[in-house]
Amino acid sequence: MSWIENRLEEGLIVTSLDWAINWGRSNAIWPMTFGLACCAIEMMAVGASRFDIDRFGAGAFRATPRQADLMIVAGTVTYKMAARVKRLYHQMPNPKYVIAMGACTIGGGPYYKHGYHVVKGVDLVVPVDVYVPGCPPRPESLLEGLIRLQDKIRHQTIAKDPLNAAKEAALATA
Amino acid sequence: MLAQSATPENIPENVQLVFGLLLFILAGTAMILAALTAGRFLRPTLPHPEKDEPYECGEPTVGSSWVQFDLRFYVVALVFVIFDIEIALFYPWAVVYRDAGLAGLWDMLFFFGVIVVGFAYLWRFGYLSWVRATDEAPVRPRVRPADALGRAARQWS
Repeated sequence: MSWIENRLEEGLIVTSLDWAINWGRSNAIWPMTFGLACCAIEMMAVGASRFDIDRFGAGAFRATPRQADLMIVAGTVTYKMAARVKRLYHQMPNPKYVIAMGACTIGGGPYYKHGYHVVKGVDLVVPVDVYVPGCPPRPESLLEGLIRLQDKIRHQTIAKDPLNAAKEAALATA
Repeated sequence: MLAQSATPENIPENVQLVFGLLLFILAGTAMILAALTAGRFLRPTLPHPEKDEPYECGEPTVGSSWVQFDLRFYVVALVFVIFDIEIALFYPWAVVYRDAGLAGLWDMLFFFGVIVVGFAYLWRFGYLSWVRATDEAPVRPRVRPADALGRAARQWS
């Protein structure tokens, strides 16, 4: 993806660069406000003072997808809204992450059986990184989801994976 | 002249100033270029056709993004030139007023005359009234209806 990715094998430079890039990315995740239903209230509570999300660096909620790197899908995704969710996800610049908050976005939630208007899970529309269960999840749960996402970001690496070369060679010859 | 080492006492002050300014500009440019270059190599590049679409809250876009700028904003520009830029250009003249003499006075009066034409335009066409709506006469019928309905309307309005 980036120019430097997959060029250098693991070493001092790459791991230091990794640490710096991941530190920057994980401590400044700016969410896009995507409150669709009741989970949005819990997301607002997370943004407020008691369960402060700003102490994780993620307090700057952007209204536009152009400046956001995290889309917290908070609420039921209906078929009408799903097209907009997909379009907004595509309009976000990389690197982008998605948190599926609440039971409705995980697998349809309470609307799974009779909800003819509900998309049964937002992962049918956009790729999801972290699922936060709950109906609605407590603000602490959403913060736990954010911390899990930060861990996921910190494990990213730009180093060349020696296994990848072997796999690609095997695929090329096969 | 003997070859001298370039110590701070030997370099004349105006040359020192120029060097300082050049160094400042160079350092500023270098900082910006370093940040942009680091970004160019470290950021992911995944172009997607929908990423280039204009943002319209998730809807497919309707109409063109290029709309005509309202021409009446020229009044804002005119007021700005007449008040702000005139004052800004009067200050240096006021500083050298005594040394400029009569020629400076006539020069500045010519400039002021041009400005006054614009000022007269603004004044005549009412752009200087603070609240423009109250300058017009209130819309009211000239004739008071004298029939019962008119009397009731006036009594109960």
